[in-house]
Amino acid sequence: MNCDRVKQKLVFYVDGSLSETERNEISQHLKQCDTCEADYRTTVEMVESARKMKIPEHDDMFWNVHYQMTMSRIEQKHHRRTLIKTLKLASGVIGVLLLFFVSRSYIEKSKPENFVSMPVGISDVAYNILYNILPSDKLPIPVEQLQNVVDLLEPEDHMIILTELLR
Amino acid sequence: MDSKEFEQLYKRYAPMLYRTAYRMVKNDADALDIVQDAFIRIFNSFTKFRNEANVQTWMYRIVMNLCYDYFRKRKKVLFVSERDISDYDNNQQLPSDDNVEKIADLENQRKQNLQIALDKLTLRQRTVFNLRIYDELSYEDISKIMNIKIGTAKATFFQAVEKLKIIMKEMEKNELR
Ligand SMILES: [Zn+2]
Repeated sequence: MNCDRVKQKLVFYVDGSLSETERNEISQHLKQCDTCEADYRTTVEMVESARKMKIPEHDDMFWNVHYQMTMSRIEQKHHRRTLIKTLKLASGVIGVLLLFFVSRSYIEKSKPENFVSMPVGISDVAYNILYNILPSDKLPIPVEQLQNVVDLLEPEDHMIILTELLR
Repeated sequence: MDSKEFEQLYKRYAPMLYRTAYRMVKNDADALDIVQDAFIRIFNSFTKFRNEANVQTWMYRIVMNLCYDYFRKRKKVLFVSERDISDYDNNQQLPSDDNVEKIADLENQRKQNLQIALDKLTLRQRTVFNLRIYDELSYEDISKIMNIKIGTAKATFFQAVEKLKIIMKEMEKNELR
């Protein structure tokens, strides 16, 4: 092996990544060539002092605390993610509720002046329909009791009653 | 992921990954933060990598990516922090007449020179040098961690060592003058 070739391989000779054949060839060359031998020494010295460089040491107890801190951060992130997921899921429900309130306020705005305001409930809409369509003297039961009766009914019953009344 | 399994993984690899991160960012608090961020990532995607042949390589990759993110974020303040570090180093050098201490000083001087020289490497050169010299990883692992070819990893290591030797020689020449 010539000097140029040795120079290319020296780094890998020092870091121990060469094949045995190449290692032997370089060893042979270093014995005969002072220039390459000097280069070899410089490389070894540099790598050795690099390896000696100190970094802070932390003991097991420290790493235990560090682990606990990491876990609590993972849990926090997990809670946040769960919260966002719940909110996303809830936004569907919120959407329905919003629709309900908007339609309700629309009904309230369009009601006549003598409109009797009633407690909010699923049967609200049905009550409004009944009350606004039928003149009060034609109501089958007194206004005060109407709400109670309607409350007991299932939503699908409202239509049945309505058609029955209008017949 | 089973928390017992994660704890074992943590206790086994955190100190090693810390040393790797520290050699890159040269700051205890930042290195510890990087290890924490790395383990959060590891926790979140561990099930995907459980069967991966080399979990260690995967973890190194995460740490290196976080180190690179760190440098990207720090780019603006790097100039100031570099000056701060050299001020700190100068304060550490106390004059001494004692011969024993002079030898120790020479040794320390060499280490300081090397530290300065290491800072003059490109980020890629420093990464390959650290992974090869300190973590003693194979070129194959380094190439996987850095997403480069094995040949590129080897060539980069060669360049790093040659550059360090030249810088060190130059600094020693100036000291003798
Ligand atoms: Zn030679």
